[in-house]
Amino acid sequence: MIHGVAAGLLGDPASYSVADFVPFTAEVYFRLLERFGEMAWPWHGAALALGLAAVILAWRGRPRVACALLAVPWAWVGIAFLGQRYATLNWAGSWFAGAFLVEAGMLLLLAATGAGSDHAGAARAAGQAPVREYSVPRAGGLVLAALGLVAYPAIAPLAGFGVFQAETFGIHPDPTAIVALGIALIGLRGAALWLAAVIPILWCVVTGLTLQVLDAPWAPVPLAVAVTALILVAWKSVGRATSRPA
Amino acid sequence: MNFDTERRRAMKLIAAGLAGASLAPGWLLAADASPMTRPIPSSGQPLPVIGMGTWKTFNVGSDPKLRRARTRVLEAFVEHGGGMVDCSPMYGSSAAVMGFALEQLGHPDPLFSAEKVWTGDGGETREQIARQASHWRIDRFDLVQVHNLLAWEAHLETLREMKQAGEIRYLGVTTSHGRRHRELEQVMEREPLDFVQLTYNLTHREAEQRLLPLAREKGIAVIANRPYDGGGLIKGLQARHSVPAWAADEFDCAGWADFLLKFIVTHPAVTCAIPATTRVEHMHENMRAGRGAMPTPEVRQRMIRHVESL
Repeated sequence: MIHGVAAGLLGDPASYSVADFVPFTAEVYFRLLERFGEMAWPWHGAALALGLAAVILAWRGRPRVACALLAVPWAWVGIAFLGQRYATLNWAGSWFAGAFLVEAGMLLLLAATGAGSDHAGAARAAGQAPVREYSVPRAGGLVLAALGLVAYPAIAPLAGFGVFQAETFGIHPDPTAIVALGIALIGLRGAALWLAAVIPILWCVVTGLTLQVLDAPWAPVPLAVAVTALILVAWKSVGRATSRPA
Repeated sequence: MNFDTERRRAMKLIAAGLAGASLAPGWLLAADASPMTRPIPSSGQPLPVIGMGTWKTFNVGSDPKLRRARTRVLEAFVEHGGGMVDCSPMYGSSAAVMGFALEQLGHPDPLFSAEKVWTGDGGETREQIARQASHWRIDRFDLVQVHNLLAWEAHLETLREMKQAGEIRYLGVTTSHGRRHRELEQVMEREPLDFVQLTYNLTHREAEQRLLPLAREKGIAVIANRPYDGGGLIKGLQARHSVPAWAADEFDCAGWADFLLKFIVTHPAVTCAIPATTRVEHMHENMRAGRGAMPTPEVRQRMIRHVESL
Protein backbone atom coordinates (compact mmCIF):
# COMPACT_ATOMS: atom_id res chain seq x y z
CA MET A 1 0.00 0.00 0.00
CA ILE A 2 2.68 2.45 1.10
CA HIS A 3 4.82 1.29 -1.79
CA GLY A 4 1.92 1.97 -4.14
CA VAL A 5 1.35 5.50 -2.83
CA ALA A 6 5.06 6.30 -3.00
CA ALA A 7 5.27 4.90 -6.52
CA GLY A 8 2.46 7.20 -7.65
CA LEU A 9 4.04 10.31 -6.23
CA LEU A 10 7.73 9.67 -6.64
CA GLY A 11 8.10 6.97 -9.24
CA ASP A 12 10.30 4.02 -8.31
CA PRO A 13 10.90 4.34 -4.51
CA ALA A 14 14.11 2.36 -4.93
CA SER A 15 15.52 5.27 -6.92
CA TYR A 16 15.58 7.47 -3.80
CA SER A 17 17.68 7.32 -0.66
CA VAL A 18 16.99 8.63 2.86
CA ALA A 19 19.14 11.68 2.06
CA ASP A 20 16.78 12.57 -0.81
CA PHE A 21 14.08 13.24 1.78
CA VAL A 22 16.24 15.72 3.69
CA PRO A 23 16.61 18.54 1.13
CA PHE A 24 18.31 21.04 3.47
CA THR A 25 21.60 21.41 5.29
CA ALA A 26 22.19 21.11 9.03
CA GLU A 27 22.80 24.88 9.17
CA VAL A 28 19.34 25.59 7.75
CA TYR A 29 17.54 23.10 10.00
CA PHE A 30 19.17 24.34 13.18
CA ARG A 31 18.54 27.95 12.16
CA LEU A 32 14.87 27.01 11.70
CA LEU A 33 14.76 25.54 15.22
CA GLU A 34 16.43 28.67 16.56
CA ARG A 35 14.22 31.16 14.74
CA PHE A 36 11.10 29.27 15.78
CA GLY A 37 12.33 29.14 19.38
CA GLU A 38 12.89 32.91 19.31
CA MET A 39 9.47 33.49 17.79
CA ALA A 40 7.73 31.34 20.42
CA TRP A 41 9.51 32.92 23.39
CA PRO A 42 8.36 33.31 26.18
CA TRP A 43 5.80 30.52 25.79
CA HIS A 44 8.38 27.84 26.55
CA GLY A 45 7.60 28.04 30.28
CA ALA A 46 3.86 27.72 29.71
CA ALA A 47 4.39 24.75 27.40
CA LEU A 48 6.62 23.09 29.98
CA ALA A 49 4.00 23.65 32.69
CA LEU A 50 1.31 22.19 30.44
CA GLY A 51 3.46 19.12 29.73
CA LEU A 52 4.24 18.63 33.40
CA ALA A 53 0.56 18.93 34.32
CA ALA A 54 -0.37 16.38 31.65
CA VAL A 55 2.20 13.87 32.99
CA ILE A 56 1.01 14.31 36.60
CA LEU A 57 -2.64 14.00 35.61
CA ALA A 58 -1.97 10.86 33.60
CA TRP A 59 -0.03 9.32 36.50
CA ARG A 60 -2.82 10.16 38.96
CA GLY A 61 -5.46 8.46 36.86
CA ARG A 62 -6.79 11.38 34.85
CA PRO A 63 -5.64 10.33 31.35
CA ARG A 64 -8.62 11.96 29.64
CA VAL A 65 -7.61 15.41 30.83
CA ALA A 66 -3.98 14.63 30.04
CA CYS A 67 -4.92 13.70 26.47
CA ALA A 68 -6.96 16.89 26.08
CA LEU A 69 -4.03 19.01 27.27
CA LEU A 70 -1.62 17.14 25.01
CA ALA A 71 -3.76 17.80 21.92
CA VAL A 72 -3.01 21.53 22.13
CA PRO A 73 0.78 21.37 21.51
CA TRP A 74 0.31 18.70 18.84
CA ALA A 75 -2.02 20.97 16.89
CA TRP A 76 0.22 24.01 17.44
CA VAL A 77 3.44 22.26 16.39
CA GLY A 78 1.67 20.72 13.41
CA ILE A 79 0.37 24.05 12.14
CA ALA A 80 2.97 26.61 13.22
CA PHE A 81 6.21 24.63 12.98
CA LEU A 82 5.63 21.88 10.44
CA GLY A 83 2.91 23.40 8.27
CA GLN A 84 4.03 27.01 8.13
CA ARG A 85 7.83 26.70 8.44
CA TYR A 86 9.22 23.23 7.91
CA ALA A 87 7.01 22.62 4.86
CA THR A 88 8.78 25.46 3.01
CA LEU A 89 11.99 23.43 3.24
CA ASN A 90 10.65 19.95 2.65
CA TRP A 91 7.82 18.91 0.32
CA ALA A 92 6.97 16.18 2.85
CA GLY A 93 6.44 18.83 5.55
CA SER A 94 2.73 19.25 4.83
CA TRP A 95 2.29 15.49 5.25
CA PHE A 96 4.03 15.65 8.60
CA ALA A 97 1.86 18.61 9.61
CA GLY A 98 -1.21 16.58 8.68
CA ALA A 99 0.01 13.67 10.79
CA PHE A 100 0.44 15.97 13.79
CA LEU A 101 -3.10 17.27 13.36
CA VAL A 102 -4.42 13.71 13.10
CA GLU A 103 -2.62 12.93 16.39
CA ALA A 104 -4.18 16.01 18.00
CA GLY A 105 -7.60 14.88 16.82
CA MET A 106 -6.95 11.36 18.09
CA LEU A 107 -5.99 12.68 21.52
CA LEU A 108 -9.15 14.79 21.67
CA LEU A 109 -11.22 11.77 20.69
CA LEU A 110 -9.62 9.67 23.43
CA ALA A 111 -10.22 12.52 25.88
CA ALA A 112 -13.85 12.82 24.87
CA THR A 113 -14.68 9.11 24.93
CA GLY A 114 -12.37 7.93 27.69
CA ALA A 115 -11.60 4.90 25.54
CA GLY A 116 -8.55 2.96 26.69
CA SER A 117 -7.98 5.02 29.83
CA ASP A 118 -5.70 3.28 32.29
CA HIS A 119 -6.99 4.32 35.69
CA ALA A 120 -4.15 2.85 37.70
CA GLY A 121 -3.59 5.97 39.72
CA ALA A 122 -7.30 6.54 40.35
CA ALA A 123 -7.78 2.91 41.35
CA ARG A 124 -5.01 3.20 43.90
CA ALA A 125 -6.58 6.37 45.27
CA ALA A 126 -9.90 4.53 45.59
CA GLY A 127 -8.22 1.58 47.27
CA GLN A 128 -9.07 -0.76 44.39
CA ALA A 129 -6.95 -3.73 43.46
CA PRO A 130 -5.39 -5.31 41.52
CA VAL A 131 -3.98 -2.48 39.41
CA ARG A 132 -0.38 -2.35 38.19
CA GLU A 133 0.45 1.21 39.13
CA TYR A 134 4.17 0.58 39.13
CA SER A 135 4.43 -1.59 36.02
CA VAL A 136 7.50 -1.37 33.83
CA PRO A 137 5.60 0.30 30.93
CA ARG A 138 4.21 3.01 33.23
CA ALA A 139 7.61 3.60 34.80
CA GLY A 140 9.14 3.64 31.32
CA GLY A 141 6.52 6.17 30.28
CA LEU A 142 7.51 8.36 33.18
CA VAL A 143 11.16 8.17 32.12
CA LEU A 144 10.27 9.06 28.51
CA ALA A 145 8.15 12.00 29.66
CA ALA A 146 11.03 13.27 31.80
CA LEU A 147 13.39 12.82 28.86
CA GLY A 148 11.13 14.90 26.63
CA LEU A 149 10.43 17.62 29.17
CA VAL A 150 13.87 18.04 30.73
CA ALA A 151 16.70 16.13 29.05
CA TYR A 152 15.92 16.64 25.35
CA PRO A 153 15.92 20.45 25.57
CA ALA A 154 19.38 20.25 27.16
CA ILE A 155 20.92 18.29 24.29
CA ALA A 156 21.47 21.15 21.81
CA PRO A 157 23.04 23.58 24.31
CA LEU A 158 25.25 20.78 25.65
CA ALA A 159 26.30 20.01 22.07
CA GLY A 160 27.45 23.61 21.64
CA PHE A 161 24.38 25.07 19.95
CA GLY A 162 22.57 28.26 21.01
CA VAL A 163 19.97 28.37 23.78
CA PHE A 164 17.11 28.99 21.33
CA GLN A 165 18.17 25.94 19.35
CA ALA A 166 17.12 23.87 22.36
CA GLU A 167 14.13 21.81 21.31
CA THR A 168 11.39 22.13 23.91
CA PHE A 169 8.07 20.39 24.52
CA GLY A 170 5.12 22.13 22.94
CA ILE A 171 7.33 24.29 20.73
CA HIS A 172 9.32 21.75 18.68
CA PRO A 173 8.14 18.37 17.39
CA ASP A 174 10.73 15.95 18.82
CA PRO A 175 10.21 16.52 22.57
CA THR A 176 6.46 16.88 21.94
CA ALA A 177 6.43 13.39 20.43
CA ILE A 178 8.60 11.92 23.21
CA VAL A 179 6.43 13.37 25.99
CA ALA A 180 3.29 12.12 24.24
CA LEU A 181 4.72 8.60 24.16
CA GLY A 182 5.46 8.84 27.88
CA ILE A 183 1.94 10.02 28.71
CA ALA A 184 0.35 7.40 26.45
CA LEU A 185 2.32 4.64 28.24
CA ILE A 186 1.28 6.00 31.63
CA GLY A 187 -2.37 6.68 30.96
CA LEU A 188 -3.60 4.49 28.12
CA ARG A 189 -3.96 0.82 27.37
CA GLY A 190 -5.03 -1.57 24.62
CA ALA A 191 -5.98 -0.24 21.19
CA ALA A 192 -6.11 3.34 22.46
CA LEU A 193 -2.46 3.10 23.51
CA TRP A 194 -1.47 1.85 20.07
CA LEU A 195 -3.53 4.54 18.33
CA ALA A 196 -1.99 7.30 20.42
CA ALA A 197 1.57 5.95 20.09
CA VAL A 198 1.87 5.13 16.41
CA ILE A 199 2.32 8.69 15.06
CA PRO A 200 4.80 9.78 17.77
CA ILE A 201 6.82 6.60 17.19
CA LEU A 202 6.86 7.20 13.41
CA TRP A 203 7.88 10.81 13.99
CA CYS A 204 10.79 9.68 16.20
CA VAL A 205 11.96 7.45 13.34
CA VAL A 206 11.61 10.29 10.80
CA THR A 207 13.44 12.81 12.96
CA GLY A 208 16.13 10.29 13.92
CA LEU A 209 16.87 9.56 10.26
CA THR A 210 16.79 13.29 9.45
CA LEU A 211 19.29 14.06 12.23
CA GLN A 212 21.43 11.18 11.02
CA VAL A 213 21.59 12.68 7.50
CA LEU A 214 22.45 16.05 9.11
CA ASP A 215 25.23 14.41 11.16
CA ALA A 216 23.68 15.58 14.45
CA PRO A 217 25.41 13.74 17.31
CA TRP A 218 22.08 13.08 19.09
CA ALA A 219 20.46 11.36 16.10
CA PRO A 220 20.38 7.98 17.96
CA VAL A 221 18.23 9.46 20.77
CA PRO A 222 14.86 9.67 18.95
CA LEU A 223 15.56 6.36 17.22
CA ALA A 224 16.22 4.75 20.62
CA VAL A 225 13.03 6.35 21.96
CA ALA A 226 11.03 4.85 19.07
CA VAL A 227 12.38 1.36 19.72
CA THR A 228 11.94 1.66 23.50
CA ALA A 229 8.40 2.98 23.18
CA LEU A 230 7.47 0.21 20.76
CA ILE A 231 8.75 -2.42 23.20
CA LEU A 232 6.94 -0.82 26.15
CA VAL A 233 3.65 -0.47 24.26
CA ALA A 234 3.84 -4.14 23.23
CA TRP A 235 4.79 -5.07 26.81
CA LYS A 236 1.79 -3.23 28.25
CA SER A 237 -0.55 -4.78 25.68
CA VAL A 238 0.70 -8.31 26.38
CA GLY A 239 0.67 -7.71 30.15
CA ARG A 240 -2.92 -6.51 30.01
CA ALA A 241 -3.97 -9.44 27.86
CA THR A 242 -2.40 -12.04 30.15
CA SER A 243 -3.57 -10.42 33.41
CA ARG A 244 -7.18 -10.10 32.28
CA PRO A 245 -9.45 -12.09 34.60
CA ALA A 246 -11.13 -15.17 33.16
CA MET B 1 56.92 35.50 -11.67
CA ASN B 2 60.04 34.79 -13.80
CA PHE B 3 60.22 34.10 -17.50
CA ASP B 4 60.69 30.32 -17.15
CA THR B 5 57.61 29.99 -15.04
CA GLU B 6 55.62 32.01 -17.51
CA ARG B 7 56.94 29.95 -20.40
CA ARG B 8 56.05 26.66 -18.69
CA ARG B 9 52.58 27.98 -17.98
CA ALA B 10 52.11 29.06 -21.61
CA MET B 11 53.28 25.67 -22.86
CA LYS B 12 50.84 23.91 -20.55
CA LEU B 13 47.99 26.07 -21.77
CA ILE B 14 48.86 25.36 -25.40
CA ALA B 15 49.19 21.63 -24.70
CA ALA B 16 45.90 21.55 -22.85
CA GLY B 17 44.26 23.52 -25.62
CA LEU B 18 45.44 21.04 -28.22
CA ALA B 19 44.32 18.16 -26.04
CA GLY B 20 40.98 19.79 -25.48
CA ALA B 21 40.53 20.44 -29.17
CA SER B 22 41.29 16.80 -29.90
CA LEU B 23 38.75 15.73 -27.28
CA ALA B 24 35.86 17.80 -28.51
CA PRO B 25 35.76 19.93 -31.61
CA GLY B 26 34.33 23.30 -30.91
CA TRP B 27 35.38 23.32 -27.30
CA LEU B 28 36.70 26.77 -26.65
CA LEU B 29 39.64 26.87 -24.30
CA ALA B 30 39.59 30.41 -23.04
CA ALA B 31 42.30 32.43 -21.42
CA ASP B 32 42.40 32.84 -17.64
CA ALA B 33 40.09 35.84 -17.82
CA SER B 34 37.09 34.04 -19.25
CA PRO B 35 35.58 30.70 -18.34
CA MET B 36 35.88 27.77 -20.69
CA THR B 37 32.79 26.80 -22.58
CA ARG B 38 31.46 23.84 -24.49
CA PRO B 39 28.77 23.99 -27.13
CA ILE B 40 25.32 22.56 -26.53
CA PRO B 41 25.27 19.97 -29.35
CA SER B 42 21.70 20.66 -30.44
CA SER B 43 22.24 24.39 -30.93
CA GLY B 44 25.94 25.19 -30.76
CA GLN B 45 25.33 27.69 -27.95
CA PRO B 46 28.45 27.84 -25.77
CA LEU B 47 27.95 27.02 -22.10
CA PRO B 48 30.54 27.56 -19.35
CA VAL B 49 31.78 24.15 -18.19
CA ILE B 50 31.24 24.98 -14.52
CA GLY B 51 27.62 25.58 -13.55
CA MET B 52 25.91 25.65 -10.20
CA GLY B 53 23.62 23.20 -8.42
CA THR B 54 21.14 24.26 -5.73
CA TRP B 55 20.27 20.92 -4.03
CA LYS B 56 20.20 21.62 -0.30
CA THR B 57 22.39 24.71 -0.60
CA PHE B 58 19.70 27.20 -1.68
CA ASN B 59 16.87 25.65 0.34
CA VAL B 60 16.95 28.16 3.21
CA GLY B 61 13.25 29.05 3.44
CA SER B 62 12.44 32.60 4.46
CA ASP B 63 15.52 33.05 6.66
CA PRO B 64 16.71 36.58 5.69
CA LYS B 65 20.29 36.05 6.89
CA LEU B 66 20.73 32.86 4.88
CA ARG B 67 18.97 34.37 1.83
CA ARG B 68 21.49 37.21 1.82
CA ALA B 69 24.34 34.73 2.18
CA ARG B 70 23.12 32.70 -0.80
CA THR B 71 22.76 35.89 -2.83
CA ARG B 72 26.47 36.50 -2.27
CA VAL B 73 27.20 32.96 -3.53
CA LEU B 74 25.19 33.58 -6.71
CA GLU B 75 26.87 36.95 -7.09
CA ALA B 76 30.29 35.29 -7.03
CA PHE B 77 29.09 32.78 -9.62
CA VAL B 78 27.93 35.59 -11.90
CA GLU B 79 31.13 37.58 -11.42
CA HIS B 80 33.12 34.55 -12.54
CA GLY B 81 31.03 34.34 -15.71
CA GLY B 82 29.02 31.34 -14.56
CA GLY B 83 26.34 29.91 -16.83
CA MET B 84 23.98 27.14 -15.80
CA VAL B 85 22.03 27.26 -12.53
CA ASP B 86 20.10 24.06 -11.89
CA CYS B 87 17.09 23.66 -9.58
CA SER B 88 14.06 21.42 -9.00
CA PRO B 89 10.62 21.46 -7.36
CA MET B 90 12.05 18.73 -5.10
CA TYR B 91 14.49 21.21 -3.57
CA GLY B 92 12.02 22.92 -1.23
CA SER B 93 12.42 26.70 -1.22
CA SER B 94 15.49 26.71 -3.52
CA ALA B 95 13.59 28.16 -6.48
CA ALA B 96 12.11 30.96 -4.35
CA VAL B 97 15.52 31.73 -2.86
CA MET B 98 16.99 31.77 -6.37
CA GLY B 99 14.28 34.22 -7.40
CA PHE B 100 15.09 36.41 -4.42
CA ALA B 101 18.82 36.34 -5.22
CA LEU B 102 18.27 37.02 -8.94
CA GLU B 103 16.13 40.01 -8.13
CA GLN B 104 18.72 41.33 -5.68
CA LEU B 105 21.34 41.02 -8.42
CA GLY B 106 19.15 42.61 -11.09
CA HIS B 107 18.63 39.41 -13.09
CA PRO B 108 22.11 39.08 -14.62
CA ASP B 109 21.93 38.26 -18.33
CA PRO B 110 24.32 35.38 -18.97
CA LEU B 111 22.68 32.94 -16.58
CA PHE B 112 21.29 29.76 -18.09
CA SER B 113 18.22 28.73 -16.07
CA ALA B 114 17.72 24.99 -15.73
CA GLU B 115 14.66 23.65 -13.92
CA LYS B 116 12.98 20.31 -13.59
CA VAL B 117 9.49 18.94 -13.59
CA TRP B 118 8.93 16.48 -10.73
CA THR B 119 5.44 15.11 -10.37
CA GLY B 120 3.87 11.75 -10.98
CA ASP B 121 0.95 13.52 -12.62
CA GLY B 122 1.80 13.71 -16.31
CA GLY B 123 -0.88 16.36 -16.84
CA GLU B 124 0.67 18.81 -14.39
CA THR B 125 3.79 19.66 -16.42
CA ARG B 126 2.88 23.20 -17.49
CA GLU B 127 1.38 24.07 -14.12
CA GLN B 128 4.49 23.04 -12.21
CA ILE B 129 6.84 24.78 -14.63
CA ALA B 130 4.79 27.99 -14.38
CA ARG B 131 4.90 27.75 -10.58
CA GLN B 132 8.68 27.29 -10.60
CA ALA B 133 9.11 30.20 -13.04
CA SER B 134 7.13 32.44 -10.71
CA HIS B 135 9.42 31.36 -7.86
CA TRP B 136 12.47 32.22 -9.98
CA ARG B 137 10.73 35.49 -10.94
CA ILE B 138 11.46 34.88 -14.63
CA ASP B 139 9.25 34.43 -17.69
CA ARG B 140 10.71 31.24 -19.07
CA PHE B 141 13.41 28.67 -18.48
CA ASP B 142 16.25 27.89 -20.81
CA LEU B 143 16.08 24.20 -19.96
CA VAL B 144 13.43 22.02 -18.34
CA GLN B 145 14.30 18.44 -17.44
CA VAL B 146 12.16 15.52 -16.28
CA HIS B 147 13.45 14.91 -12.77
CA ASN B 148 14.54 11.36 -11.99
CA LEU B 149 12.62 10.08 -15.05
CA LEU B 150 9.34 10.47 -13.15
CA ALA B 151 6.40 10.12 -15.57
CA TRP B 152 8.89 10.99 -18.30
CA GLU B 153 6.80 10.00 -21.31
CA ALA B 154 3.93 12.38 -20.53
CA HIS B 155 6.24 15.20 -19.42
CA LEU B 156 8.50 14.92 -22.47
CA GLU B 157 5.51 15.17 -24.77
CA THR B 158 4.46 18.44 -23.13
CA LEU B 159 8.05 19.72 -23.04
CA ARG B 160 8.34 19.10 -26.79
CA GLU B 161 5.22 21.17 -27.36
CA MET B 162 6.57 23.92 -25.12
CA LYS B 163 9.89 23.92 -26.94
CA GLN B 164 8.16 24.12 -30.29
CA ALA B 165 6.10 27.07 -29.03
CA GLY B 166 9.23 28.81 -27.76
CA GLU B 167 8.16 28.52 -24.12
CA ILE B 168 11.41 26.73 -23.24
CA ARG B 169 14.63 26.50 -25.22
CA TYR B 170 15.86 23.01 -24.37
CA LEU B 171 14.50 19.83 -22.81
CA GLY B 172 16.07 16.89 -21.07
CA VAL B 173 15.87 14.15 -18.43
CA THR B 174 17.81 13.50 -15.24
CA THR B 175 18.95 10.75 -12.93
CA SER B 176 21.39 10.84 -10.05
CA HIS B 177 23.45 8.55 -7.83
CA GLY B 178 24.00 6.19 -10.80
CA ARG B 179 20.41 4.94 -10.58
CA ARG B 180 18.21 3.77 -13.46
CA HIS B 181 20.96 3.90 -16.06
CA ARG B 182 19.37 1.18 -18.15
CA GLU B 183 16.10 3.11 -18.41
CA LEU B 184 17.97 6.34 -19.08
CA GLU B 185 19.83 4.66 -21.91
CA GLN B 186 16.55 3.57 -23.47
CA VAL B 187 15.17 7.11 -23.24
CA MET B 188 18.33 8.50 -24.83
CA GLU B 189 18.05 5.96 -27.64
CA ARG B 190 14.39 6.68 -28.33
CA GLU B 191 13.78 10.34 -27.60
CA PRO B 192 15.19 13.52 -29.14
CA LEU B 193 16.81 15.15 -26.11
CA ASP B 194 18.89 18.32 -25.79
CA PHE B 195 20.26 17.48 -22.34
CA VAL B 196 20.74 14.56 -20.05
CA GLN B 197 21.79 14.94 -16.42
CA LEU B 198 23.54 12.14 -14.56
CA THR B 199 26.03 11.50 -11.80
CA TYR B 200 29.63 11.46 -12.96
CA ASN B 201 32.68 12.03 -10.81
CA LEU B 202 36.06 10.47 -10.08
CA THR B 203 34.56 7.76 -7.89
CA HIS B 204 31.35 7.20 -9.88
CA ARG B 205 32.38 6.59 -13.48
CA GLU B 206 29.72 4.04 -14.51
CA ALA B 207 28.41 6.52 -17.08
CA GLU B 208 31.66 6.17 -19.04
CA GLN B 209 30.64 2.68 -20.14
CA ARG B 210 27.53 3.41 -22.19
CA LEU B 211 25.78 6.68 -21.37
CA LEU B 212 28.53 9.18 -22.13
CA PRO B 213 29.49 7.55 -25.46
CA LEU B 214 25.78 7.39 -26.35
CA ALA B 215 25.35 11.08 -25.51
CA ARG B 216 28.21 11.93 -27.88
CA GLU B 217 26.77 9.75 -30.60
CA LYS B 218 23.29 11.25 -30.25
CA GLY B 219 24.46 14.83 -29.81
CA ILE B 220 23.03 15.21 -26.31
CA ALA B 221 24.56 17.69 -23.87
CA VAL B 222 25.59 16.12 -20.54
CA ILE B 223 25.23 17.80 -17.15
CA ALA B 224 27.33 16.04 -14.50
CA ASN B 225 25.66 16.22 -11.10
CA ARG B 226 27.16 15.31 -7.70
CA PRO B 227 30.71 16.21 -8.82
CA TYR B 228 31.82 16.01 -5.18
CA ASP B 229 29.56 13.03 -4.46
CA GLY B 230 27.32 15.15 -2.26
CA GLY B 231 30.31 16.84 -0.60
CA GLY B 232 31.64 13.65 0.99
CA LEU B 233 34.26 13.07 -1.69
CA ILE B 234 35.97 16.45 -1.50
CA LYS B 235 35.67 16.69 2.29
CA GLY B 236 37.24 13.25 2.68
CA LEU B 237 40.08 14.07 0.31
CA GLN B 238 40.73 17.48 1.89
CA ALA B 239 40.76 15.99 5.38
CA ARG B 240 43.21 13.20 4.65
CA HIS B 241 45.27 13.93 1.56
CA SER B 242 47.18 16.66 -0.22
CA VAL B 243 46.73 17.20 -3.93
CA PRO B 244 49.61 15.38 -5.67
CA ALA B 245 52.46 17.65 -6.74
CA TRP B 246 52.34 16.33 -10.31
CA ALA B 247 48.80 17.69 -10.70
CA ALA B 248 50.07 21.24 -10.19
CA ASP B 249 52.75 20.65 -12.82
CA GLU B 250 50.40 19.03 -15.29
CA PHE B 251 47.40 21.36 -15.18
CA ASP B 252 47.94 24.09 -12.59
CA CYS B 253 45.90 22.19 -10.05
CA ALA B 254 45.51 24.36 -6.96
CA GLY B 255 43.33 22.08 -4.83
CA TRP B 256 40.92 19.19 -4.75
CA ALA B 257 38.13 21.29 -6.29
CA ASP B 258 40.35 21.79 -9.34
CA PHE B 259 41.33 18.13 -9.37
CA LEU B 260 37.77 16.77 -9.18
CA LEU B 261 36.03 19.28 -11.44
CA LYS B 262 38.68 19.39 -14.16
CA PHE B 263 38.55 15.63 -14.37
CA ILE B 264 34.80 15.76 -15.03
CA VAL B 265 34.72 18.59 -17.54
CA THR B 266 37.52 17.17 -19.64
CA HIS B 267 35.52 14.08 -20.50
CA PRO B 268 34.67 14.76 -24.15
CA ALA B 269 30.94 14.05 -23.65
CA VAL B 270 30.45 16.30 -20.63
CA THR B 271 29.06 19.76 -21.27
CA CYS B 272 29.12 21.09 -17.73
CA ALA B 273 29.37 20.10 -14.07
CA ILE B 274 27.11 21.60 -11.43
CA PRO B 275 28.79 21.72 -8.01
CA ALA B 276 26.68 23.23 -5.21
CA THR B 277 27.97 25.28 -2.34
CA THR B 278 26.83 27.57 0.46
CA ARG B 279 30.10 29.48 0.67
CA VAL B 280 31.54 32.23 -1.49
CA GLU B 281 35.15 31.01 -1.09
CA HIS B 282 34.11 27.57 -2.33
CA MET B 283 32.38 29.20 -5.30
CA HIS B 284 35.69 30.92 -6.16
CA GLU B 285 37.42 27.53 -6.02
CA ASN B 286 34.74 25.88 -8.16
CA MET B 287 34.88 28.59 -10.80
CA ARG B 288 38.65 28.52 -10.92
CA ALA B 289 38.37 24.94 -12.15
CA GLY B 290 36.69 26.20 -15.32
CA ARG B 291 39.74 28.15 -16.39
CA GLY B 292 43.35 27.59 -17.35
CA ALA B 293 45.19 24.42 -18.21
CA MET B 294 43.27 21.16 -18.33
CA PRO B 295 44.38 17.55 -17.88
CA THR B 296 45.09 15.58 -21.03
CA PRO B 297 43.51 12.12 -21.54
CA GLU B 298 46.72 10.53 -20.23
CA VAL B 299 46.69 12.74 -17.16
CA ARG B 300 43.01 11.88 -16.57
CA GLN B 301 43.98 8.21 -16.41
CA ARG B 302 46.67 9.08 -13.89
CA MET B 303 44.08 10.99 -11.84
CA ILE B 304 41.87 7.90 -11.75
CA ARG B 305 44.76 5.70 -10.65
CA HIS B 306 45.77 8.21 -8.01
CA VAL B 307 42.31 8.47 -6.41
CA GLU B 308 41.87 4.68 -6.56
CA SER B 309 45.16 4.28 -4.72
CA LEU B 310 44.08 6.47 -1.79
